[in-house]
Amino acid sequence: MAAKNYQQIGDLAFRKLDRVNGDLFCLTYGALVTQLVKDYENIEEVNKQLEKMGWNIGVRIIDEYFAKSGAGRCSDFKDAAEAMAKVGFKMFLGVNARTVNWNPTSTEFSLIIEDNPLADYVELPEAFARTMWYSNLLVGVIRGAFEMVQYRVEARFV
Amino acid sequence: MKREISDSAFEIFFVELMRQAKTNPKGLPAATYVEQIAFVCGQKFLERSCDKKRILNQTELIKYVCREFWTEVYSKQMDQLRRNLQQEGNYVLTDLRFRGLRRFESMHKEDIELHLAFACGMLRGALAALNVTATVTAEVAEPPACAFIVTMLDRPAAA
Repeated sequence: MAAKNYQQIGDLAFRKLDRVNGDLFCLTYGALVTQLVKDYENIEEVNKQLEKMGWNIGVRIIDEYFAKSGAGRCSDFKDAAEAMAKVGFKMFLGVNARTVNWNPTSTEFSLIIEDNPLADYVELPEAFARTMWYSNLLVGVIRGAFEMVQYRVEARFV
Repeated sequence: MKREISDSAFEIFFVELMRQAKTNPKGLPAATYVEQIAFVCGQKFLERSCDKKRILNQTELIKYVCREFWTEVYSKQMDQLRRNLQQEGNYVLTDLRFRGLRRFESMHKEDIELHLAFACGMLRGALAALNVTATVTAEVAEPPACAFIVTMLDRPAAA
């Protein structure tokens, strides 16, 4: 069975979709994180809230993925991970991502996102640098999206 | 090259932002929550994209907001700009096809309000970054057209 060229599918899908200024996203996100810090006053709670918001996004975005990507169903977890990296991240965020460091049973991998779109212009204050997972929204999106295709996963930044 | 993301990704993110606004732990009204976030965003947005030295007076300032700024944010210019001749510093900016209202028939009233609050906050933030303190409110008489009423509270430095 020929491997689908997910790279091409992702690139094409991104070009076909309507796009908006990336700054709108990262600056809104930054303002949201700032607001969450005021809301919860506790960085651990902010991390959790970002993950939860991401999960909500992940479960919704999967429908959009199937409707607009042209990528079709995945055969197994490894295939799904590849599709998420090459098609999902590309078509929605315009970024290149790849899966690496698969374990021998193909149940664990690392995802590398080239050029995190959320982190443009961001510098974490010293007080947060060790405790805040600024882009934790993405962790939730991954978990939520996988859950919709019947994979329960844990995801975290390293 | 300017970074882009898909419109649907931002929309889905925005829905989640609205949900957070409606359930925020400090009990702020959702519209206030969204407007505050948009204000910070609008300020930073303008600071990034505008060469302020080129804006020499209030007319150029408001035109910049209507043209370049609005295009960066909503992919089109404002369609109409009217000024209140009786009161200096009052303007009505109209977008005849406001992106935030493009699905107005199927939107809940509260979500419409939050899309408007976001736009008002962005405008207020952009103006603040140009050293103009203003209030911005929105009026929708005939969706998807939307009028933004800008009331400047200071006199800007140059006439």
